[in-house]
Amino acid sequence: MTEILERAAVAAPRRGAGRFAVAAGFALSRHLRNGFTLILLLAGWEAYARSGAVSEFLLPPLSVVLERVWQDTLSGDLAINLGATLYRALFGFAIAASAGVTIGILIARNRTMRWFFDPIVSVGFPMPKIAFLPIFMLWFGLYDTSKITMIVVSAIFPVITATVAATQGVEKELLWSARSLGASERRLLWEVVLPAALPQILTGLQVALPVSMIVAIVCGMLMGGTGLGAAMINASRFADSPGVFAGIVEIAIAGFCLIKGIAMLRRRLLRWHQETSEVATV
Amino acid sequence: MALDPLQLAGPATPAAGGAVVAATAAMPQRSAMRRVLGGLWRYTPILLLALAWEAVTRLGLVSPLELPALDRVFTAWWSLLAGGDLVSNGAVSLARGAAGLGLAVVIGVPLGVLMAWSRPVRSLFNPLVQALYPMPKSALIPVTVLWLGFGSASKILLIFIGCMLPITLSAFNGARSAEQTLLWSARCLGAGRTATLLDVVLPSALPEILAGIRIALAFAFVLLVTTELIAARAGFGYLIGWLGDGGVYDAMFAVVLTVSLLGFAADRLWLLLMQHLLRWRE
Amino acid sequence: MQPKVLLVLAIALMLSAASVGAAPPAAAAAAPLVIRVGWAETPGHLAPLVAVLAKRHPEIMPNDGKTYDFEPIRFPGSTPQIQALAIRQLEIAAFSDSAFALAVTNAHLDVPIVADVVQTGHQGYFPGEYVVAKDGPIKTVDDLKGRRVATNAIGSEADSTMRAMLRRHGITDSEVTTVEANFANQPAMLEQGKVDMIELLPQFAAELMATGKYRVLFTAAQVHGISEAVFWCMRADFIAQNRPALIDFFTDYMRAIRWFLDPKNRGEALAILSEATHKPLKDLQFAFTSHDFYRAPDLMPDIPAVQREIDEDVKLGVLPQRVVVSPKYVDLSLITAAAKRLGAHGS
Repeated sequence: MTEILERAAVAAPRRGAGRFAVAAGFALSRHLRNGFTLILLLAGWEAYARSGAVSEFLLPPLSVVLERVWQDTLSGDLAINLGATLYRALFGFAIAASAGVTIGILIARNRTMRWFFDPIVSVGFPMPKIAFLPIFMLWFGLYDTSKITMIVVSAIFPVITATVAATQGVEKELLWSARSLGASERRLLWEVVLPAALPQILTGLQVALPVSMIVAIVCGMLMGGTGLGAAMINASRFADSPGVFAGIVEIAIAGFCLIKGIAMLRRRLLRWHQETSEVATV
Repeated sequence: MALDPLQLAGPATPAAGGAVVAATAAMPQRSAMRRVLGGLWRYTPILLLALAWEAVTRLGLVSPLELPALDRVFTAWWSLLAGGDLVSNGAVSLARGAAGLGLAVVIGVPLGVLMAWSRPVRSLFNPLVQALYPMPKSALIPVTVLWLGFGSASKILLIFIGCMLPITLSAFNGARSAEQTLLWSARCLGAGRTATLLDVVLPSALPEILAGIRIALAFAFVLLVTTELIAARAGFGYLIGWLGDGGVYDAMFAVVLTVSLLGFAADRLWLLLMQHLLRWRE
Repeated sequence: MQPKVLLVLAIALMLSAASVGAAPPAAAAAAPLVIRVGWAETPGHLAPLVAVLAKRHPEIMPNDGKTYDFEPIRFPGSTPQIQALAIRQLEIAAFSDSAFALAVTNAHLDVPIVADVVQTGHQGYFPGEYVVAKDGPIKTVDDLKGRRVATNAIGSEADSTMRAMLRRHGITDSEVTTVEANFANQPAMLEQGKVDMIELLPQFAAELMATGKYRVLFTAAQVHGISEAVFWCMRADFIAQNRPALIDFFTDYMRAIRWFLDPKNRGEALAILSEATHKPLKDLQFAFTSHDFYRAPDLMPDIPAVQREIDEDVKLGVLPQRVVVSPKYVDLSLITAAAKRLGAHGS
C-alpha cells in the first residue's frame, strides 16, 4: 500500500505544500535507507579484512585502500592517470557522438544509406568489438590513436541506433504542419526533427559515454602507458593489492561523475521538453 | 531508472534489426524464396565490404602485413579449425561465457522480480544496484585475477558480475510494470501472493527479462574477450593475443572474425528464441 | 508449450552449462605431491625441457609420477607468478630479484630462495641485451625518454633491470611507455617499428642481428654486474609440510640439469630444445655454451648478489622497500640434500 502512496506523492509534487512535504519525507527516508545498506557493506568490508580471516593481500582493508586513493590524489598520480583516461574517453566519445548522430540522421532519411548501413550496424552491434583491438594495434601503433579509434568504434553503435530510432520516430504530424507552414527541408531538420529527436538521441549518448570510459580503461590495461587501466595492471604486477583496489575506487568515482554529469546535461538540455520524470534516477 | 539499460539493445524493434523478420511476419503471403532473396539483399553491403577487402589487398593498396588477403584469412581459419586450436579454445571460452551468464540469469531474475515484489528486498538491494551501475565491470578484471588466478574461475566470476546488472534491472522493471488491473483481477479471483507472482507477474515481466538477457549476452561476449586478452592461458581472447603477438596476422584476423560472428549469431538466435517464447503475446 | 515452461527449460539449460563450465578440473591423484613450476622462456629456464627429458629418459627422473608430479607452467614473467604463489596455484615460482622483494613486502609471502635458475654478468656468458635499431632515433639511453619499449612482464628481471638503467639516466617510469609482449614476439615488434627497444634473448638474437639493422644499446651486466637474475622461490609452509617429496624432486631435477649441462649429451639436448621451441637447430647452437646464460653448478644461488640488486633497486626507486634476504628468506637445504644424494659431479 505504501508503494502506491509513494508513487502518488512523487507524481504530484507541486500541488500543495502538504503533498510536497510527504514527497520530501519519502525521498529523505529513501536516501537514508539507500545509504544505510551501503554503509553496512563498507563496514563489513573493513571488519572482514581486518579480522584476519583473509590475507591482506587478497582483501586489503577499506581504510588502507581509501588512504591509497588519498595518496594518489596528493601525489598527483591520480590526476595524471585520470586525465589521460578521460582525455581519450571524451575525445573518442566526441567523435563517436558527432559521427554517430550524423550517420544516424543520414540513415533515417536516405534510402541508400539505410540499405548500406543497416546490416553493418545490426551485425556490428552485438559483436564484441574489443576483439578488434589487436588489429587496431597492428594498424595504428601503440600510442593514443589505436585507443581512441577503438573507443570510437565501440561507442558509435548505440549513438547510431538511438539516432535512427529517434529521427524515424518524429511524429508525422509535426513534420506535416511544419511543411504546410512553408518550412524548407533544412529548417525542418534543424528546427523540427532534431529537437523532437533530442531526448532519444541523448539516451543513446548516455549509453555511449560509459562505453567510451570502459574501452579507454581496457585499452590501457592491454597497451600500457598512462591511464587508470595501465596503473591497475602495474599495481597487479607489483602484487600491490591496495593499488588494485584503489584503482577500482578511482574508476568507480570517475564513472559515477561522468554519468551524473551527462544526466545533468540532459536535464538542462531538455528543460523545455515535455518529459515525464522517472521515480528513480541514476 | 533514468538510464534504461534496455536502450543498449538497439535493434530490438523493427527500426533496424528485426526488419526482415517483422516484414515477413506481416506478409504471410510472401513465398520462402522471396524471403531468402530479401535476406540476401539486406546483407549485400557486407558482401560488398568483403569484396572491397579482397580487392584492396590484391591491388596491393595495403601491405599484406597490415591487412592479410581475405582468402588467406580463410585458409588460416581452416587450418586453425583442422588443427584443433580453434575448437579447443572456443569450447573453453563458450563454456566460461555460458557459465557466467547462466549464473547471472539464475540469480538475477529471481532477485529482480523479488525486488519489485517486496519492499524490504528492494530497500536492501537497490543501493547496491545503484552503486554498481556506473562502475565499469572491466575494472574488476585485476581483482578477479588476484582472487582466482589465470584460469576459468576468474572469467566466470567477472562475467557473472557483469551480466547480473542488466538482468536484475530488466527483471525488476518488467515485474514492476505488471498491470495493476491484472493484479487486482488475480486477487479478486482468490489467487494467493505466490500464485499471483508466478502466473501474472512473471509472464508480464517475460518480455523485459528476455530483452535484458539479450543485453547481458552481448556483455558476456565483450567481458569474455576482454579478460581473455588481458589474463588467460586459453580461450578466444588468449588465442587472438597470442597470434597477434607472434605476427601470425591472417590467423589472428580469422579468430577475431570468428568471435565477432559468434557474438552476432548468439544475438540473432536469442532474438529468435525471444520471438518464439513471446508469440502468445502477439 | 507454455512460455513459463520454456523459460524454466532455458534456465535449466544455462544452469547445466554453468555447472559444466564451473566444474573444477579433474583432481590430481592424491598420492604424488603436485609441484607446479613456473617458467617464462626456454632454454633460459630449463623446467620445460626437463619435462620433455623425463618423458624420453624416465630413469633420469624416476620419482616423477610416484612421490611427486612435476608440471611446468608458462607465465609471461616473474611478477604474475607472485599472485599464483599467493593463491596456491603454483608451488615453485621463478622470480626476479624485484619480484621476490615485492612478494615479501606487498604480497606478505614467506618465500625463501631455494635454487638458482640463471645469472647474468659473468665474464664470457650471455650478458642480457637491450637492442635498438641502428639507424633509429635512439642513440643513447637518454633518447628513450617518451619512447616505447617492450618487456616480457612489468616487474620481471629484464624489466626491472631496464628501469634501473633508465632511472640512472633520470628517466622515470611514466616517461616511457612500456608494453608487455612475449620475448618471442619482441623482435617482430622492433622490426615493424612498433617499439623502439626490446630485450633480446640469445635464441632470438641470431635471426635479428643477422640483418645488421640493430645494435645493442646496453646490457644487464652493465647495470648490475653479476646478477642472480632468476631464481626459484617456494612458500616456507609448503617446504615444511612436504620435505621428503621435495627432496625427491630436487634430486631428480638436479640429475636432469647435470644431464643438460654435460657436453656428452649436447646433441640430444639440442634436439629436445628444438622440439620444445619449434626453432631450427642452427638457431640454437648457443645453448648450454658460454653464449648462453650462466647457470650455477648444482643450482646454487648467489645470495649476496640478490641482496646487492635489491639494495640498488631500492636506492634507485625501482623497489619501494628493502628486504633483508639472509637468513630468513634462504633455504638451501633442499638442493644441499639433493646434491648429497647424487654424490659428486660425474659419479
